[in-house]
Amino acid sequence: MILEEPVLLVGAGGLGCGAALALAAAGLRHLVVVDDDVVEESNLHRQVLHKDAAIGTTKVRSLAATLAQLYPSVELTPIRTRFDATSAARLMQGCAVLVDASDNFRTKFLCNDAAVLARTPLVHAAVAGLRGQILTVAAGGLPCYRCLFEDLPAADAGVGPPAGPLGPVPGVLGALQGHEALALLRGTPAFVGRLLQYDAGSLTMRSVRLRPNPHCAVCGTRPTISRLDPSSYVAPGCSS
Amino acid sequence: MSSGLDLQAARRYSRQIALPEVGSEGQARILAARIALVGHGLAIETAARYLAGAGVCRFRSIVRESHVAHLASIAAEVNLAARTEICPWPFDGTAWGAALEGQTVVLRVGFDDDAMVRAAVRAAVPVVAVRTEATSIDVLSLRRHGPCPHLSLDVPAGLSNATESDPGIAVVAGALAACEALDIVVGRNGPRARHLRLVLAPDQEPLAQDIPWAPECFVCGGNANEAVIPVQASGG
Repeated sequence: MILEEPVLLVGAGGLGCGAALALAAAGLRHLVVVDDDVVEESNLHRQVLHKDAAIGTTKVRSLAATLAQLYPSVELTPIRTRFDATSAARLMQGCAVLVDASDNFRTKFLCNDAAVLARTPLVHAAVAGLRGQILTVAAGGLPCYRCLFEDLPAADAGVGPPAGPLGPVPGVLGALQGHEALALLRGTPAFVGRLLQYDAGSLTMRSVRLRPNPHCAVCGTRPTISRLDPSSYVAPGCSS
Repeated sequence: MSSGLDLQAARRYSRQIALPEVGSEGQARILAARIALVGHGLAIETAARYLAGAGVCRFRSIVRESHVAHLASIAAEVNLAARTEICPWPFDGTAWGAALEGQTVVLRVGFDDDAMVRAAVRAAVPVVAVRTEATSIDVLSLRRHGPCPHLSLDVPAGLSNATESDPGIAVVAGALAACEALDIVVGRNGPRARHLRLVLAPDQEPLAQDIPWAPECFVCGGNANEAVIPVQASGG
């Protein structure tokens, strides 16, 4: 089954490689990938669409090249830029689903707010060590990522810390994101308003049903976020 | 124990080595592991891709048809040091024993081969099996023998499930299987038999449970003291 509507993938790292594999394998026609990073040797244990020869090249080009080899029918648009408050609306234009495969809290909150404001469904995921989580936010939220986590932590050390993750863990969560994005296009998502947590160390999964937070700053009853302000996506204590 | 990692490996796998659950010794075990991949299809290809990425260099591909070259190229794409040897599908228990000898973990698609599980028990090799259906994934981790997956999971004997109905689900299943295989290789958890079932549909709670011993286990008849599979430090 070929799915025509484009999906926007933010991040071409560990989550992004897993998501791209699942999306392409399952028959997505058009994938837009945004990332401003280059491939490093220490990425290769988990970012399995980047090869040794790609070290030093941009991740979006590297991912596009590997995916073209594996799944030539997928039209992939690689965009080397940062998904930020000034570029988000432009990058999301025309995309049916936003897949947040980023590795830092600033981008995760930005993806959530941009998706809720644009009424575009979002598939969020994050990993750390041997654990990970996935949550789907319906168009307009209710609930959304911010309903649960509310705001940036005091210091944005990044969702993917310097240690880890175990290589296939982002593969599991990323592939789940890819599958869920396609399920959204088909109208059969599994994780809308439901946070699924995975622990590879104990081979355990559990899910938590979320409720809309009436005090949520973006989808609550009196939202305070009505546009994407760059200064809102800087962790307290950080200069940029 | 000295990990013996060279500088190139220490650099490449620095993020995994920095994990307290892995460390230098765990990474050395991953690099020395031998993993048998039984079956073919997207789930097993995805598992090979992630295992090779994490540092596994030695694979034994056991397939009914000639898909071996494809699997070998996938592992080598991700890890230039990866080598995959070809093993034809064993025709009986003795042949399975020979095919699994010296392997650290067996990773297979489907739950339908008693002869393979029996041989793995005799050879003291842990088994990770995955099965995918239209909307579900089952991962079975047998770090010591039995109980028989046919009995405990109500999977009809002889049911072949080597072909996946949804490619996206197969990719998830392959990555899940690779995680569990690596956890076994690193040796964090002791002997256990574990079942994870994930149904990708609204309001379906995942199931994760230890598998109880079954008196009717086809290998030991429920005697839990028999033939415990040790967690191996390395594949030799």
